[in-house]
Amino acid sequence: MRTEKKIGKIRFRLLQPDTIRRMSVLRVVVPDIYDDEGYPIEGGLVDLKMGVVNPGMRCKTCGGTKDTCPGHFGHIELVRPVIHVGYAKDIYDILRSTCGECGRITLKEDKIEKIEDSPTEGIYQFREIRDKAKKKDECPYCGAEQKKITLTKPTSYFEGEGSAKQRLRPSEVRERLERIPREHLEALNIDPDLNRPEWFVLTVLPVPPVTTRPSITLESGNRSEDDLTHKLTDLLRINQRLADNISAGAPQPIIEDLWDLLQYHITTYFNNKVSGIPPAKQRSGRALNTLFQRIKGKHGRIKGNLISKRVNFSARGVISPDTALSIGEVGVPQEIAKELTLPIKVTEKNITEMINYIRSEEYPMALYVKTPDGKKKKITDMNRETLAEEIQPGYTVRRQLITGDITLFNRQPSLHRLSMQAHRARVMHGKTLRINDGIAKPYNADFDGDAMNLHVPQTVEAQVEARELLAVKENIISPRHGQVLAGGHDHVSGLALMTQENATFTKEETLKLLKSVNINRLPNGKDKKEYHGREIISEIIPDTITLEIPSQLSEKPVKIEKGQVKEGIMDEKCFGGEGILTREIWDKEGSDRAEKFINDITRLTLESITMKGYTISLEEYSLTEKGEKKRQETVDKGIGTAKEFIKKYEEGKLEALPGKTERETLEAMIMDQMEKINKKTWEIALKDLGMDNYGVVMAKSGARGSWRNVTQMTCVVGQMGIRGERLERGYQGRVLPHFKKGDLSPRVKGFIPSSFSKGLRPEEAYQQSMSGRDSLIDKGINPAESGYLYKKIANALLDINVKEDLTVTDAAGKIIQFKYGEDGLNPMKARD
Amino acid sequence: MTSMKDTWKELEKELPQRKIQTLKENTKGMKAAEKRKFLEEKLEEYRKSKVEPGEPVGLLAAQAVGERATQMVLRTFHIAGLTGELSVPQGMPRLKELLEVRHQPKMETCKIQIKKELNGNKEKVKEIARDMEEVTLEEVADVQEDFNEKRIIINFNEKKMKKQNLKPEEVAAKIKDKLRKKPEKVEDDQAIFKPKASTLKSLRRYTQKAKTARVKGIKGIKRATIVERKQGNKKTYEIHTDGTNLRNILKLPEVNSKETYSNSIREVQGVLGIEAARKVLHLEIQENLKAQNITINDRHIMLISDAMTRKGELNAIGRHGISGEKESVLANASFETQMRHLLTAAQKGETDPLKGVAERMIVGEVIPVGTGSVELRMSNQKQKKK
Repeated sequence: MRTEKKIGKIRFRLLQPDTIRRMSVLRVVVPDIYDDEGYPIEGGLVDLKMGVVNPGMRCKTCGGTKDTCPGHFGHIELVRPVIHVGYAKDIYDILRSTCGECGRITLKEDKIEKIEDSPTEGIYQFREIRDKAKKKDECPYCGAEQKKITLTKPTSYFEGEGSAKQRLRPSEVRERLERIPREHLEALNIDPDLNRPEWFVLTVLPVPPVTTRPSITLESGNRSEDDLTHKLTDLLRINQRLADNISAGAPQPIIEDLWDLLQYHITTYFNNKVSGIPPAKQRSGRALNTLFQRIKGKHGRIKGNLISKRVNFSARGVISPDTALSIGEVGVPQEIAKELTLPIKVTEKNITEMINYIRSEEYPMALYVKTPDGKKKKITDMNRETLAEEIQPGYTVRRQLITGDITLFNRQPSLHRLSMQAHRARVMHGKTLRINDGIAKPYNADFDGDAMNLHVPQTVEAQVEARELLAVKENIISPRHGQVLAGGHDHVSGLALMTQENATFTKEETLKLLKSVNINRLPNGKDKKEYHGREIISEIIPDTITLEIPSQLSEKPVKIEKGQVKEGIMDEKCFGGEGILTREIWDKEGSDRAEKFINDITRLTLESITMKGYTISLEEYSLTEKGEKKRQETVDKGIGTAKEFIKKYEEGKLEALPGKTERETLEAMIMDQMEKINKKTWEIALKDLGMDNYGVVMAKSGARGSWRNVTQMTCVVGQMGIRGERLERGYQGRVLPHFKKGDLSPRVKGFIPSSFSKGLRPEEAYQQSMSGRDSLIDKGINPAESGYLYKKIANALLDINVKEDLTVTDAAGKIIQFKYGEDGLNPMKARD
Repeated sequence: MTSMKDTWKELEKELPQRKIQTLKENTKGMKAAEKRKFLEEKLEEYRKSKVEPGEPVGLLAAQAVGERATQMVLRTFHIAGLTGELSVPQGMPRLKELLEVRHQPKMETCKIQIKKELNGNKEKVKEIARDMEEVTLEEVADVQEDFNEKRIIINFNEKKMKKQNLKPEEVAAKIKDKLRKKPEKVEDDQAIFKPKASTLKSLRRYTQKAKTARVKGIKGIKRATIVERKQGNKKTYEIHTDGTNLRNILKLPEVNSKETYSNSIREVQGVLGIEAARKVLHLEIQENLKAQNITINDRHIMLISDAMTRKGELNAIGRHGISGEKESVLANASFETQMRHLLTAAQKGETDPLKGVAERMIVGEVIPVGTGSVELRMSNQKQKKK
């Protein structure tokens, strides 16, 4: 029986030479890897004592196979000590703050104590000590002279200045570090109980087990070794050569050179991206990936394998809309459902069902059976019957995904928690993943080729959590502001269409509409010739709802009494935008009813829109003759006023606004004037086009497009700008060659009086494209910047959560707020 | 059956005072039974709206801000329009500034309220604003060097001096402080100094010192403009400055020190303390988001500003602030400067208690938020025995 153990805490410390030797199973001495027969050399880098990676072999240390042997460390005895690059700077700091003779910090004890008592801690405290100590010329304890020590990056130390400058070899550095008394270690930011500073200088190097640097056999049969193994062979070779030279009594300079070479190899073995030295390369010219590179960065061990992981039981596919689905469902193609599996524990209740899955030879079938003692059996045509008879409660059957299973659905970028919600699977024909378009908004998805990911939770615990906490119905409301994030553009259009004053439907139409939401009776049971859209919508609103919602389309607010819509035209405030109505239902009737309401309303509105037709054309965005005249007048008048400002400015009569120059004042005034033109023409367009105009209805109801879009198409494109200012650059003194130099009038500086429906003049098209490029640049920069900002905030606040007494604490249990939000309310549910 | 008084008591125990007040107003004129039912419903509603223990509110706040930041404008300055207000950076750049607690924000400004008896007097306010602006000697006088005598000759510009309401004696006194030398001569249009300069090089240094010497105003106030505010029929005026110096502004007798506001978090922390800084941080983030038409529940912003100020000093978001000072080695190593954190952890012999989200994820444990925050579990075996 395997016992489960939990990691309670992790302590970090330096590896001590003794420990390295003790944990080693072999001293590696041979730089070669395989002998002529392709068998690992004893004492080489892939010696079988350090573990096995190839199937069929056995570890010489533990006797395990490829799957059971965890791998064992070896070690290399370095002929001469070598600096650890990661600690080069720390060694430098320690050397500078301690006495070269006696090893004590060159500060008097009371001074050290004083700094230790100050509120600064850790590395900052040590820096303070270092800065004071390095200035001392004489040791206060032994009186020895303190010479200046310099570090030439990455790993060479020198003592003295000018001509007296002398190299401090790693062996000398080590000796100095050895002399530092234990009492002073704490002040040097070193744990005295665990570490010694001389361990910063390596005398023995651990060799990681082969399992961490597996060799791969290529198709051609050639062996290809891991980067680390390559590095270690180089290192061993130099170490050997150095040893040979020393024992042969080679001259000092040659030994020094080899020593430096050994230092280089060990430096790059740790970190191959040290500035100042060339990275070690493979024969192909590719820089080697050594220890630091393995851990560091996005694809390094920590961020790439420990924080984020690759998963099984997942699928990815293009999404498309399907209103027949509930918002809580996701349509899964059968092809995907066949691949995704989940384990089901056999109980007395489900045993017949499970036997059926095992017997089945087509889609909903079981693929594996696991016996209570953990043996996994693949179901084949051969053993299907025997397994079907064998299973009993306690067995686990792995079956394919079926309709009703819970899945997690996600679209990237996952900017908030609503980017991953739990949907019930519905296995369908077709090749795309499908969702109700009412739930596309929280994912920020559309159906122009977006792809999304599907995950199948494997344990019962995970499945229950998904159902209860991550289900769509529980997350209809955004925790950001408590507004409903369901509903789309067309639903709002449909709502507005159905609640308009003259929205009448015949009896047949009414029945057809209600049929789409599974209601098979007439509104309120009254038999009438014609029904108003509000009566139809009232059928899907629960009777407990009494509410008034402001409307942008009608003067009167939308009034709902006991589930009956009495008056007002519904817009995005009811559903699709703020979703006040949905929120009320969620609060009063619960999440299931809210889900049903959203399903109903999406179907109903889309059905009505399809029935009545909802379309826009160029006609929609053309003014009548009268309106056109008015538009022209407004534009002329506006430009006239702006020209007056310019005249005033040129005469020097313009009074500067406080804090602005005259020119800046002029710009501000013209910009303001041009904006006024746009706003005025919108009012004209609104009157001229009328409330029956679909384009206007869309803008006003909040379904799609804003008033500015409508105005730009019908009336005036308006002021173009770069970086928020009127157009400036281009030719000398003018934007385009069409204009006079130095002219400040609106049209010259990018005001476009034409409309998109009538078309732009050539110079206007240029001006518009300038503004277009400007916003394109903005769009390119923004996601990258805001993504990084988000990452930073998230990392800073990651651990903060609410405790049982509503205090807010971080990971260390330190209190951040005594009561969350000062009132302990959930921002998702609070109504303030 | 509980009495009406008890119902109220219960409500008062749980609900904030503000809500009690509205409830009292809403229930006026209701019959007792109706009233009780209504109140009980409200209490139930309130209890339902509480946060669940374990809710990862920090992450929620981060998501709320982060998700919306994608839609933020990049523009540094918003168009101030015609009101004469100073344009303050908006959008992403400002948000970054605030969260990183930058040392030199793009635009530091003070909104100065004048005492009630003076704030309707436009001329007086204008005067205060003018006296506040920093003026250097260069701006009101022509400074020349006399190389033969090694002297500095200051020729006052009469017009400019008058505009700034300055007298030669005052200016000379300020220069005297700066150069630490009495003037040789002070006249209406000229002042002459002879500093202790042995070489021409050192004379030039003194000249530069004199030129940039502040002869009037408050240090750091580059500009002060007055802004009109309408309160009903009454027009009041306040002063907005470019650059801040809260400490000295608050010392002015005309200033209503209780309502004067600075947008520099660091400065406010230095002058008024951490609680004030927290409030300013909150207000500034709120204001910034509001200007972008972004609705975010205040609790999120509150949490961010609380997390940034809880150590009693400003703690930036990012590797030099909160993220870099976590107790856990692994959490630190999973963010930016990874290797450094691991190396120092070994040196110091640190222990990772594995209490945070990132660390638990690394060791493959349940994360300590949400359903994972529960440490008590029912024993399976005991249940069976029953």
